[in-house]
Amino acid sequence: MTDTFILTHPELLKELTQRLFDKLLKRFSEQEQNVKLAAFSTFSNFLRVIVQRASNEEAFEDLAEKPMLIKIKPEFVEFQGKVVTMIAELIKVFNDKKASSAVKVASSELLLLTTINIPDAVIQHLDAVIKLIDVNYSQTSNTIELRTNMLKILGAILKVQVVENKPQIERHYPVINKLILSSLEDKSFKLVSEGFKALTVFYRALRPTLSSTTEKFQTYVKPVIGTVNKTLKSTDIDEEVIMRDGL
Amino acid sequence: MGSVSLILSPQQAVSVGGELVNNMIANKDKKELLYYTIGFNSMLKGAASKLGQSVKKVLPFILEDTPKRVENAADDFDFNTELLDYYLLILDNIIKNCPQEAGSYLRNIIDRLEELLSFDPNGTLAEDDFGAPDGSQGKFYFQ
Repeated sequence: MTDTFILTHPELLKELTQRLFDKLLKRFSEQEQNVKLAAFSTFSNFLRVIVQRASNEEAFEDLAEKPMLIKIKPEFVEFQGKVVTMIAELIKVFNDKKASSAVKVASSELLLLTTINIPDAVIQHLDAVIKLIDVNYSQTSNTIELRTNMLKILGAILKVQVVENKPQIERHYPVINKLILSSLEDKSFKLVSEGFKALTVFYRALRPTLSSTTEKFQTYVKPVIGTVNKTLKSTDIDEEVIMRDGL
Repeated sequence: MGSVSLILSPQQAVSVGGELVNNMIANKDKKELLYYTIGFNSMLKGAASKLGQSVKKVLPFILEDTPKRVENAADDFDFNTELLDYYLLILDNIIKNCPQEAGSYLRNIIDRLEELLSFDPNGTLAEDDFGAPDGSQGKFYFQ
């Protein structure tokens, strides 16, 4: 019902957040799966409502800059701290060994939405988030959906880097590079496709200081060339992957 | 009941809805309350716009009865939690479909919502982070 309130009475959102946010957040540790999923859904709607898109969005052709056009509405800026707390709780959900696949996928969707809508909140937990992406992507027993979402979150973090060039993100380049390279060699075309998307943004983030003589080129670009060629030559590769040839 | 409500005229819907609400109130201490509540919820889903007067009557009843059910959930756990489920569905439908009737009750509904978010009828909140539940049903574990 909190969902309904959020969507039908935006004028009450501030009061609802003040009164219900913490109580709802505690439901992240709920062991009843349906309740936990309902709590995730409510937070997703909350995250959609508290942000606004810039009106001149169409003017930006560079897709990588688009996420930065989503801003938290001024009246809700004070709730950014609560979103940071939410991410901490969300990370606990991923670390819960008893969490089902459905719960992990739903958590990853919420984390992705948060990364797109309020990236600054995610950056505050960046070390834990990158570790979480590494663990959940690398675990091949996880569902393709969950692993794909991990790459999407990685891509969203890199989009922040394209615009803001944060040293705390750059610190994780080796892990990011490893994950992307691994995805390009995966058997699943979904992961390969998402890997290419992430790689495109990764190169956009590297580009300002990138030339064929720099260390970054040697470390992050050169090793990828062989893998990309091999993947693109693969006969059974999905058309969507081939379309991402324009690196 | 939901299908029937679609073909009822506004007068008939008001009459049936009013009868259901009257029966909810008259049977508030009996098991039959659940049946009338389920019936009214079905009607709301199909014909909320035709039930204005009944909505105005059912709202104060539900808002008053909800804390009592929460407080005494353990007395008849299955009955009370199922009833609370339907109360929430009714409130949800009213907020969505009857904004005019719900208008003056919104703050009261938020009060109930706040109470219910602290209610853990299944006793399934993780023990580590929020204190150990005592295993009994229908308790508040954080306030």
